[in-house]
Amino acid sequence: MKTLERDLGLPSVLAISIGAMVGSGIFILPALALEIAGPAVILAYLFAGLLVVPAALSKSEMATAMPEAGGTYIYIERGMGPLLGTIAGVGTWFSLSFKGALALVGGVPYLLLLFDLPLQPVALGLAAVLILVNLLGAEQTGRLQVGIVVVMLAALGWFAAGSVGSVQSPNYRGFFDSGVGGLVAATGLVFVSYAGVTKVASVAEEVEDPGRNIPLGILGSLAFTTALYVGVVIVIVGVTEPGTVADSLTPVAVAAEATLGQFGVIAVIVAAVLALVSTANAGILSSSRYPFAMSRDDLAPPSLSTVSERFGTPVASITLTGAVLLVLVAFVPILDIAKLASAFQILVFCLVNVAVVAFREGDNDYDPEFTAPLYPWVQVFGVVAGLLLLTQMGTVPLVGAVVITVGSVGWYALYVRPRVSREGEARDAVRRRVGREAVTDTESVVNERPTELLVALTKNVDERRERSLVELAADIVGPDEGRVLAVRFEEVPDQAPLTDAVTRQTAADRSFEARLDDLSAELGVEIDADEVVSHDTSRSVSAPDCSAIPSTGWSVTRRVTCSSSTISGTNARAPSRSPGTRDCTRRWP
Amino acid sequence: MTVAEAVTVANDATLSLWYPTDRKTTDQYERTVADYQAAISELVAAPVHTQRVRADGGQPSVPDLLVRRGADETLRSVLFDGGPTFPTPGCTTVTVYTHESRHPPLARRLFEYVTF
Repeated sequence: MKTLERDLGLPSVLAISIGAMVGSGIFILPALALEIAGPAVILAYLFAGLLVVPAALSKSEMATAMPEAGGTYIYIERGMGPLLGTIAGVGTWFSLSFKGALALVGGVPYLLLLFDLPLQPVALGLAAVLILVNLLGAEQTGRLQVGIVVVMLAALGWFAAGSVGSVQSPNYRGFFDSGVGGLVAATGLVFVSYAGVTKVASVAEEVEDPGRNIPLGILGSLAFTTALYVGVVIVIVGVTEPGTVADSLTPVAVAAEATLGQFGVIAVIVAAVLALVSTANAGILSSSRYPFAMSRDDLAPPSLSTVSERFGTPVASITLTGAVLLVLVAFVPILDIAKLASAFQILVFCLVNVAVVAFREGDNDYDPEFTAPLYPWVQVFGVVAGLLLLTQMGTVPLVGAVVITVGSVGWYALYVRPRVSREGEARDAVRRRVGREAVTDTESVVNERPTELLVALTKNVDERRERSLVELAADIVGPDEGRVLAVRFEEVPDQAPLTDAVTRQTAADRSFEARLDDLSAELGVEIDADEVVSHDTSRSVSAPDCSAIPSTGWSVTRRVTCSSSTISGTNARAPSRSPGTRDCTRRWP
Repeated sequence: MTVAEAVTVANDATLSLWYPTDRKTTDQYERTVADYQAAISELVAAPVHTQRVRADGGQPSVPDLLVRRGADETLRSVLFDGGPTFPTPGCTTVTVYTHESRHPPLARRLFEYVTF
């Protein structure tokens, strides 16, 4: 069997995670978020960093349990079944496409600082080139990616450190003017800046000492990235007059111009353009994997998983993703793209947290090497905070999340359901629990068998039926040496008063009692026979203080339908003394 | 169960548990249902075997006595009682109505409906 060599230490984990997180987002989002939250955007970056921790831990746990699977969508599909798998797959696909589009729309303005060109055609052209590169299957070189991240970090580090001296404290005035609502909305908006933190999960199987290095790697890289983002944002807010950056398409360049001069601006532009290319490329590359993976699981048409013989790439999947990207770049405003990218990411992260719970509660071979600490509170926090953010981000992202969810459910109902019979661990976990509860309830009923049972009979019950019903009752109470109370209810017309005359025993009554005495001797079970006379049989059976009943504590609560053609026995129950007693209706075909 | 068990034991008979299902099943579903059936069979002091029946009411055999759950008129039973009622089973039928205090909670009925 081939196994992966565990050779990734803590520094590698940190590098991978930071590299995946720091992208073009920091060059675009601060201005958009500043408009929503004012200077409190600094806190928004801090909170967003905290809120991704649960999903990162959850995903890492699942990655060490199912290393061969790989990918958020797969974990959710396996954990919670094809329905939520479809939602997660579509959600992640869109989230990554939106992220790619955001990189293009947000990054191109930096490029245009150097060249005087129209924004949208350049963004569309660049997108087309990147889609083509992905179609042709150009290898993504890891070293280039590392180089880009290093340049970006250096530029941003220089920017933050070099500008800190120019920070003017009056610029932070009105810190909380946008209130909690603005802060929460901005937190949701910048959430996507941290989405890369779950990248660690894709290499979790290769990490040495995963129980230590994964949480340390996640927390460490998050701490670093959060500090970097917060530092950059503090500087952006602190070195510019309030209101000047918020409208800018190139906030970092505007701030750099104020503090570092021409060289600073050039450095920022270089870093931003590199970030643009690598983030947009990564967006196309990773998002086109989702239609591909869903197609392999029969959640999407098979054509999406066909790999071109000429290029060795899933052409249909990349083309579809590319088309989505181009439409986004062409028609959707940048703020909406950013919000939707975050919203879909939040939705998927919520599902990731629930998936861990599904796996842990499910009865299966789930045995992760790394277990998320503070389970299940971390997951609960992740889900609750995520949903809270989602509802506070405004109409567009909320509607987007609902549309994605409803659309995926529709797709599932129309396309997936007729084709796929898989189900997730969660469903089976619930099934087991429901089954256990049903068994426990049944056990308590079976063990608390009634010791007294009322058989309510009407006058028109013939002897054969009477015997069958009493025998049934005797079978039930017999093993515990219980007692059967057989009561014959007689109805007299309302016109006839209930006098002593009607309560006098008739020959039929005496014969009834004699029959039951014989039956008692025959069956070896105590049977008491009695008669009740009333104006309305059904009422006297349902009345709790029916005269034949209170002495034994029986109360009969179910109304009896005495249609003689079908029902010959009647219903009786005794909740107060014998909780196990059930009503019985005996029918004869 | 109490009624069926009592009659079965008293008559040295065999109890056959009928499970309605018409879903496409998975191995996991089969395992879980088998475990459930084993657990429920253990509660009964009589020989038990389980039998799958079609949810639309195809009856596997004609027993000597059929014990079935009676539908009450509540909304939940209208919604969740998917099992067949065997209207003409060809034998004596005992319909057992659960006391209201023993009705399983709505959430359980919902989960039962979705998962079983």
